Amino acid sequence: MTGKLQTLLLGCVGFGLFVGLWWIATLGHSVSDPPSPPLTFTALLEIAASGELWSNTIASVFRVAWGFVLAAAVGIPFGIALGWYDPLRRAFNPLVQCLRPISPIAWMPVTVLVIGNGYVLNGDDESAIALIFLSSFFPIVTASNSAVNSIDRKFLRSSQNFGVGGLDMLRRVILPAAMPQILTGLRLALGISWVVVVAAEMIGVQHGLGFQVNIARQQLRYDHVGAAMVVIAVIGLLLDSFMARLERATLARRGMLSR
Amino acid sequence: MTSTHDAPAGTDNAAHAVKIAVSGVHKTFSKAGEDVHVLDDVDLDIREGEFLAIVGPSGCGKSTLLNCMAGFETLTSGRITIDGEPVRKPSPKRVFVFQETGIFPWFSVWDNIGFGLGKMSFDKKHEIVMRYIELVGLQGFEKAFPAELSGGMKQRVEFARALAVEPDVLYLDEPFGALDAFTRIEMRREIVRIWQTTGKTCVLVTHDVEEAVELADRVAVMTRRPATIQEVLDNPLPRPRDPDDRGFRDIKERIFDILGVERRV
Repeated sequence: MTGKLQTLLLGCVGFGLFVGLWWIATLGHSVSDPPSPPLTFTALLEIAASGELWSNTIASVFRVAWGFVLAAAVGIPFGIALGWYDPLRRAFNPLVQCLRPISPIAWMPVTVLVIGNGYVLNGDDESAIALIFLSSFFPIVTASNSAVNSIDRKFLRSSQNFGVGGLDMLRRVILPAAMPQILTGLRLALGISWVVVVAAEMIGVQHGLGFQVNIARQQLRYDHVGAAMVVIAVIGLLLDSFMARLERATLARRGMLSR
Repeated sequence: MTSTHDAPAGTDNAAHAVKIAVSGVHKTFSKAGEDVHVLDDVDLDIREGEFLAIVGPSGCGKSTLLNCMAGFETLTSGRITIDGEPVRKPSPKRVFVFQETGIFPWFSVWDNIGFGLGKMSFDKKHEIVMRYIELVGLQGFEKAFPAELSGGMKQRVEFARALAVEPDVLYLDEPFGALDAFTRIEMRREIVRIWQTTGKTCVLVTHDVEEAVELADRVAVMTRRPATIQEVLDNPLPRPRDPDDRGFRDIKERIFDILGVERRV
């Protein structure tokens, strides 16, 4: 048996076992009970046909995209600066490490209060984007900081030795040397973002997959809850495999893929 | 302390002008509030175009001395001059070849060798890069990435990258340490060939006495306490050198004597 086929088949074992147990545990359930696999599947077709699925998915992905991109745009330069200038690291890293463990959900009352009805977009979107920003920002800063801080000294010395300094050194040595670790940080941050967006959408908002879960619960349509959970899982997987691909492509280009 | 007598055989006849002058160098590191004297009054003259090896046990400070000569470390006291100019910071006129390969894994062979060339037209850069690719025998690998190369080939890229900026001095910090025994022999032969072709001043730091005697015109023996150059030996053996020769063994023996090491197992 080839390695690939074997991996695929073994991967199916886990899923098969899970769906089987789930099926047995939910035999004879109605839509107001924890849903069985067939009920969930039917519900999935329902919300897809009614269009709810698409508008909610787009709302969630939109929020994650904005929050994540903003966090990367601010967090990567900030993290690199922390990793490079020792005084800056000593000034700000304790603060970053102190704020990092605060669950983004705990920030929710603050963001809702500060943002209110919103400034540019609407209040729902903006406070969700702010939460995603907070949840990705700290892992991205931490990863970029440690990526730069742990660059092998011989690379920096080589660069100095050949008279390559300043911005040229940043572009040709520091960024490429730090890139693998920064990408790992981004991947981690995107995973956290996706978890957080669903939670953030549970309270007070009118769109998004989290909203879908919550409204279905209120309507006692647990089959719709199950369907939304399946969608959340699939999109989470897609986002992660997208980042994994980006990581691999960057490393493969320089032949640095560890096998 | 230097034994600068008459011209040793095997070196070219150019005047033995001093290229690098190390005088009264002290280097102290502070570690956990305690001062560690790594270099304790080091004097050494390195001549233009010679191949000098500094040999000593691990931790004797020989790498620190090389880092000071390259301008990576500042001196606690004393003076190092190259062509009469004090060394203040790293410069492409003296290039460091690292213990493990210091070439950039994110650049191709071509980009690595062209790294220090600065801004110039592509054609000119290409001409220089290809010339050095040829010098180290890596034709056909210019687009390869370091991860695709063997240890010896990476070392060749590193030499080419250093030579491409046309330095006067090459600092070799145990450059063959990470290579297997066969590749090491090949690369030693290669570095001697490069040195003979280009006439650079080469300063090699190694803990391998045999390597030092194989490569160098003169061998500076460094001891741990006090961290200083004990003696500089002339090595007039003709090249190519054979470690089994009588003269070779005698020089090795003397170095082990100075180091106070019993080498028989």
